[in-house]
Amino acid sequence: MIFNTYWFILFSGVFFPVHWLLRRPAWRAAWLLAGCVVFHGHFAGPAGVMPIVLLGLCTYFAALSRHRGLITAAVVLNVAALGGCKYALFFSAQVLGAIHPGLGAAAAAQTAALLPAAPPLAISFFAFEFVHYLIEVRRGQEPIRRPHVFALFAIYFPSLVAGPIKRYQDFTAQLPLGLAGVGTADVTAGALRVTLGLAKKLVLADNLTQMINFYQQPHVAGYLSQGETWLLIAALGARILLDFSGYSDMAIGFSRMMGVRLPENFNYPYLATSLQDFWQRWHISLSTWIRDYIYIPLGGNRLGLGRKLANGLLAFALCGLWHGPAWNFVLWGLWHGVGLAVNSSYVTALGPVGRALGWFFAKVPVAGWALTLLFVAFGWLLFFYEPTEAALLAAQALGLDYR
Amino acid sequence: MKAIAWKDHLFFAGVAVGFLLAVALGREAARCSKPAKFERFYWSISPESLYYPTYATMERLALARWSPGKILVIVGGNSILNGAGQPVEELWSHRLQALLGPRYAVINLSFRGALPTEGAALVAEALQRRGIPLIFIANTAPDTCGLPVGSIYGYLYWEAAAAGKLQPYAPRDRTIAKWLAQNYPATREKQLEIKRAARLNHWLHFQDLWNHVGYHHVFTVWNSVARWTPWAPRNKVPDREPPLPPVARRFSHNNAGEMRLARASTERLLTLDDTGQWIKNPVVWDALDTTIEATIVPDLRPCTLMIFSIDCPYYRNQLTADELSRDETAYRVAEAVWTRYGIRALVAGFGYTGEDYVDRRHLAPSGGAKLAELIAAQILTMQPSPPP
Repeated sequence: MIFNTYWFILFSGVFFPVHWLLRRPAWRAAWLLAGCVVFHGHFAGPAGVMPIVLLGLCTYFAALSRHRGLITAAVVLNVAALGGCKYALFFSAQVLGAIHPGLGAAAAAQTAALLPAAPPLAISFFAFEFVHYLIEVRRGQEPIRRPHVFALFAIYFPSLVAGPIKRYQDFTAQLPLGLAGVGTADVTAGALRVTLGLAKKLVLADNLTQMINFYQQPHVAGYLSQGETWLLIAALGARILLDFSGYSDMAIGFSRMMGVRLPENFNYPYLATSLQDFWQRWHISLSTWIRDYIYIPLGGNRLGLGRKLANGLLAFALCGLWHGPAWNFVLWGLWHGVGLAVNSSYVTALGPVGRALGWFFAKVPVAGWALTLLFVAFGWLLFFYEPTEAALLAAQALGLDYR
Repeated sequence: MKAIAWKDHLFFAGVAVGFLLAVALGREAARCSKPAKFERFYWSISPESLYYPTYATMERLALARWSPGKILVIVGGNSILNGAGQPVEELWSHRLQALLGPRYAVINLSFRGALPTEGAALVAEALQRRGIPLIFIANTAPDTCGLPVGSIYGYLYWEAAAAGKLQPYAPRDRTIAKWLAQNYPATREKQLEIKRAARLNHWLHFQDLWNHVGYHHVFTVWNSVARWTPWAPRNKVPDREPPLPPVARRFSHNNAGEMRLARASTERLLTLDDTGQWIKNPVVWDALDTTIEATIVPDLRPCTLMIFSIDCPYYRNQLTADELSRDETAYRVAEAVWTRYGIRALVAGFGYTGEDYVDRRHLAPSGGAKLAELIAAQILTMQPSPPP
């Protein structure tokens, strides 16, 4: 969490007033870029900035060339950088290690020696935005010609750390509006949104985190009643929503305070009445990215039921892996992939029973809502508990004997 | 800026007025708000329950106890001097006040787990600088002095420094700068964040305001220590210690674990040579020398009393003759090291019985009373600094 640091308060105290007082769009753009550079440099450090600068340069020039081969190479470079920095250790130790332990251990040792202790800050966001940009240019969209606009797209500080994942067409359309002049209505709306985000994060999510951390300790969790365990799982679900959407609110709010609108990331996801509905409301910028750049290119739902299900599973496994290099995230992704497969096919696959169920859920949306919420809640067990055995034990504590 | 609507004017004016009002209230809280009927920093007004008393509060508490003509006795150090295990009515520092009489004003500003250079030491240093005659008491382990930054109480140093309260002392500044530079980037950034917070609080008083609200009205952060009354204002949470079990049942649980700690406390400090002499481990003792020199300002040293507490006899009786000898030698060496810097040092606990302890380290009311007598006798022979 960067927006609630004292550094950021001091940064904001200088950055925003100057940004609002500057008259010319060019000066404002220069000031914004300087702010983004300072922000990125402070939080990522030189070791975190350099890889992003290199990736950004490759992405910018490859797109500018409009050469399909160069663009493809830049996409591969971005994916390789993300895979190498964030997932190489996981793949060598966990995946290769599962197949051949000796080889896995040797590869993990080599990888650990080669890589920095931590991947560059927010490399997932950079890689996803750069890949989106390159693919769109490869599909025939206009590249960003002005280097400072591309730099702002790349390291725009409100969305730098935890998104929302921007689309460059939207951003380049919004940026000139913000640089032309910030309206007080924007500043007001942005400040209110930041306040909402801070309240969600600091007042609600952080308190829930304190409680969850305490009640999850083995010597405490073992004495919780079934009802209390259900409350704990509800707290887990509430915490991740409040934490993440609070952060998104702050990012959207700070950007709005500069007159630039960022895409929404959450739309009351726990009110969803089906899993499909949930994924149109939860982490929207990621789910639409996965849909546009993984699921649809794999064939989407155009190649028959089998391919549709396989594509969905793969897309969601990658979606899970995006959250971190660990099996629990992969399983969480697969859990949702399977759920979506069932959700999107049961009406036809189950014949009359499916149609009856479909009718029932259409007529009684509260049943779909409860079922979706339950499904998502169990998903959080997989997401938060590592190893998976711990998630199963937690499920058992909820009264669900999995054995 | 584009055209401004009246409601936007209202919004900005509201934000500005609200902010200035909060700063003014915080400033007022910093000036006069402090825990009522203060006896010690018990758990619900300590960082262990996420209540962070500010340096300004500590200084105000000390000044409230003192009046011209009196000698201020500031108690720092850790849970032993905090009186962990002693009901507040039988706190050892009450006994100390009674023994010293009205010429002295005793204030217990110790925290559980605090180092002798943290918190109370900074208050003593600052008040001495203001010309208030005082004596500073703290306790520590034989090999420990420690920097005033880095632990949970480190924020007090940054607050005192931001407020310009501390005596200028270049060796301390250099040591802290070196320590920061040698740390991992994440730790360094965390410390710099604490430093920024202290600086901002000095101007804006948000921590003072939050402490005032948390103490008098509502606490806003849930934590496991205060989990039964997480939102209750902290002035409603009494200073209570669990009842003391009879001596026969007091020490028997986890004997093996406690004995491991009892042995480890001086294990790495000394080694036995072929002639049966205890040889000092230079790494440990040189580090102690360096830290005392770098962290305790010279002016404070002559009016400082450093206490070392030995373990409860229940555990000491289980030590071998060699271990006992090592223990006693280590405490004597520590006394000599601190004395070399002009700091009076003494070992407490010799002759105490099991009845005097609540556990391996902490003193029961009877042990506290013995400690108070020992310390009072020392204080009466010490010169406060500056002289009254």
